[in-house]
Formats: sequence, structure tokens, C-alpha cells
Amino acid sequence: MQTYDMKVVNHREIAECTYEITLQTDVFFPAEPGQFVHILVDPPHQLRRPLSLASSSGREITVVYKTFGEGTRTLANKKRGETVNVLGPLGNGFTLPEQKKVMLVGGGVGVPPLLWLAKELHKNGKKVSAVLGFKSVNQVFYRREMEEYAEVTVVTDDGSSGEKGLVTKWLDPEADVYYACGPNPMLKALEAQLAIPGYNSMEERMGCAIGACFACTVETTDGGYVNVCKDGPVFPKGRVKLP
Amino acid sequence: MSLHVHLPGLELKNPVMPASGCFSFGKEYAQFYDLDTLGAVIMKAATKEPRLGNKTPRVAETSSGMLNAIGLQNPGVDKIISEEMPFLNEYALPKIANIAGSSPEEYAETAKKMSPHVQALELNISCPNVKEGGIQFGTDPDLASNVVGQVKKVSEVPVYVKLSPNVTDIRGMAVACEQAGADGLSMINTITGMQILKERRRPLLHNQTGGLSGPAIKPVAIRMIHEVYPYVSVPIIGMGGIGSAEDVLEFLLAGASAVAVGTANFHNPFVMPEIIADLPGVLREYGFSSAEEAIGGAHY
Repeated sequence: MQTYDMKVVNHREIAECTYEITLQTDVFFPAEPGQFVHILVDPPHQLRRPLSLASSSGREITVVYKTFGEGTRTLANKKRGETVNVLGPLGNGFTLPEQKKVMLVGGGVGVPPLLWLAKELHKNGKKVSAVLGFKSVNQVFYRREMEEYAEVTVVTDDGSSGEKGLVTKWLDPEADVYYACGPNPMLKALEAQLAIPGYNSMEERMGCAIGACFACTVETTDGGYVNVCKDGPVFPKGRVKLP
Repeated sequence: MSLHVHLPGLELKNPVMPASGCFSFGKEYAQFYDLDTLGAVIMKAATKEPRLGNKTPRVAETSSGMLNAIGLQNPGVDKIISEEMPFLNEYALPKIANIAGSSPEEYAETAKKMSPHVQALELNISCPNVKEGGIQFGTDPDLASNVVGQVKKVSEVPVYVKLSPNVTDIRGMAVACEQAGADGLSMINTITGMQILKERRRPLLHNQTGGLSGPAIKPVAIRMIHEVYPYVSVPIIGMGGIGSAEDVLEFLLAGASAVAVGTANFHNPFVMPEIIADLPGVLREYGFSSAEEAIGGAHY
């Protein structure tokens, strides 16, 4: 495993407080959909920021993040041509399904890893639907990108774009498997509501992101525990006791 | 340039090792470099029974540091011996087991099981993140002496005591532990702290409080080691915000005979091999011909 010094080749605000950064590497970066990277923000920040991959070509990776705190606000200042240190690829990616009809459910910055998954599913001849939830119209992103691979329903809390309400109200009844990434309450609601099999991609605050510090440990339904970083971030539905 | 240092039970080819809790049992960082590059390894705390630890969030970044409240999560001493030690035993480096418990008897029981498998024990009487045990033993000299005495009776290897900085009289604690039979001291564990999530008007960590580590606590660690060093004859393993070979030298000068690196591993997984590679140059630059020569150099 190694770290990569990557060059910023593109960095733009794609929605309110939501940034897309594309980084280029000289050394091949072997990533799969669902994996994430641990990005070093300039000192004095002590912890890296775990961000899921929206795409990777092996030479270029893209991640999307929200400026939620000081670290991500510092990252937002990175200019084209500057260097960012990347640890990864980390965690286990999505397992592609046997089933034909696949529903993707994304909440906010949970959408980016699903975009890469949608591309793979589309390539594999699956019928893909995507339900993308955001707070309001200013925060909607990746709608058009997702439409290349999936039948898209955008849902906003206030109805200012697409449908109104929560994603759970606008699910695809035809789907026979689902993949979800978003806030834990959303994942929990989906598990309760859907009878079909599914996968959750989880977010958690991390320290090392390689399984050594136990910062991102969550309880499993059988009373054990797993690290979101090393054992996840993607877990089959029902594996983790969602907080 | 010799980086070799000698401590009870530990012949170290260099004075740098990972701090307990930041390195699990070595497997993860072995993906980055050969563990035998390190002076030694200090393992994640072992308790008598498995512990799940606290609920998340367990970590938060702070100014020049981080808070953690993991809560001594570990698979229990038996599983550590059967499932984690075989991997570490593929490496020649000295192994130090960190031991925690909620009673002196529990410490002793775990220490007895663990000691035949390692070169030294580090008693964790300073974890700020558990309800029972841990720090209560590290803030009362009588309780600390009792734990140290009980463990000394059963341990086959030297016993180091990891002191808490959350006390008013660190010297008193250090002296009490030495008198109770400690073969060495580890200084310092984390400093209790808290961060408030403004949006939610509540502490960020689920445990509310956490242990502060990283560069923010380095001056506190240096001060405490410097304060204790003249009053004890046992060696000190220094820790608290070390991130460079220059930091290591500062700890040696304050009175540490070896050092442990914690939080910096998360920032840069290669930090320890880099520090070890830089150390000869830094020692030379400041006029030392070996690591041992620098120990306690700031006392006159």
C-alpha cells in the first residue's frame, strides 16, 4: 500500500458547498467503484479526510466533498496545478449484482460513488434506476451525469427540484436489488422499507482508515464489530446495526 | 551513528516505536513497510474479556491534534495471544503488550497471560475513555501502587507504567510507581478534552470527552518528562505529538530513553521509518555521536 502525490487538474463547486476535485497521478492507481481515498489536507490538519471515489481511470481520480468543517474548507482552496497527497485506494468496493433490475439510492454526497457504480452496471447490461435525494435545488448535482446510465428521480426535501419529500417515498417498485449511500437514517429507513436485497455504503469519521485505530468501528447485527474503513465501507443490508 | 538504546527487557536498535492504540497489532502498517525497521512495537491495549468500545463518533480533529474516545476496544487477551501474536512473531522486533483492566486482579490476570509472549508490559492506568478502571488507577498514587505491585508479582518481564497527564502531581505518581516496582515509565497518555458540535449544540464525541493527542500536547509531554526525570532512576518511554526526528531528539533531551509515535501515523503512514532514517542526521547536527548520549541532555 502506498500514498500518491497527485496533481489537481480540475476543481470546481458543482452545487452549494459541494466541490468536485479531479487529481492526476503518474503512478497507476488501481481502484474499484465503492472504494475511497484518505486525502491529506495541508498542515496543521492532523487527520486525513476519507472521501469516496466518484470515478477513477487509474491515472485520474475524481472525488466530491461537502465543505462541512475546517478541513474540507482548506481543501476547497486547493488550486489547479497544486499537489494533494492521497492514501488509497481503501476499503472494499461494491459487489456487482446477479439481478437484472438495480436501484441506486443516494443522499447528498452519497451520490458520487453511485455514479461510478451506475456506469459499471450500465456497461454490464443492467437496468438501472437512481433515486437521488438532496436538501434543495441549490444542492442538486450529478443529475445529468447519472441520466447517462440510469432512469433518474431527483427528490428534494422542499420540492424545489424534482419530487418533494424523502427518497423513501419515491423508490422504484420494480427493482430486485438496491445499493444505497447516504446518511445513516436514510440507510436505516431503506432497510426497514425494502424487502429486496441491498448494499449500504457507510460513512464514518476515521483516523487511520486502514483498520489500525478502531475509530470507525460499528456493531454488527450478530453482536460482533467491523471497521467501516477496512471491512466496508460497503456492507450487505442487515450486516451492520445502523446507528 | 548508533541509534541503539537499552531499557529493561528491551534492546532496541533504534528508540522509535508505535504508541499503543495507534497501530493495532501491526498487520495494517506492515502493508506499508517492514515492521522490523522499528525499534519495537507497543500493541493495542489488552483486557481480560473482549471489549467493543464506545459508540461512534470516536474521533475528532482539533487544533494541531485530535480527540479520541475508542474505549479500549480489543478482542480480549486470549484472542490477542492466539490470533494476533502469530503475525507479530514473524518479526524479530521486541514486543510490548499494553494491559488494561477494571481491578488490580484483572490487570494481574491479563498480565500473567500476556507476559510469556512479550519482552515487556506497559500498564495502561491512564485511559481517559472508559467508565471503569483505566484512569482512576492513574490519578491516585495508592491505587497505582497497588496495581503495579500486583502485576509485578505475576509478570515474567519488565513492567512499564503509562502515566496520565490528567494529574496535578506527575512527579508523585512517577515516584509511587517506581517504589511499587515499576521497571520503567511511559509518558504521557492523552489529555482529557472535549469538542462541541455547534450545529447540534452537543459534544461531538459520543463519549462526550476524549483524549487529546498530537502536536498540541507535545509541550505538556516534554514538561512532564523533564519534571519526572531527575526524581526516578527507571527509564522513560516518551510520547505525545512526536512527528519528526527533531521531536525525538527533544524527548531524549528531556529525559526519555525511547519514544513512541501515535497520531502522526494517521497523517503519514510512513512517519516512523522516515523518523528513523532522519534521526542520525539530526543527532549529528546537534552534536551527538549516539542516541544514548542525548538522553537527559537538557538537565544540568
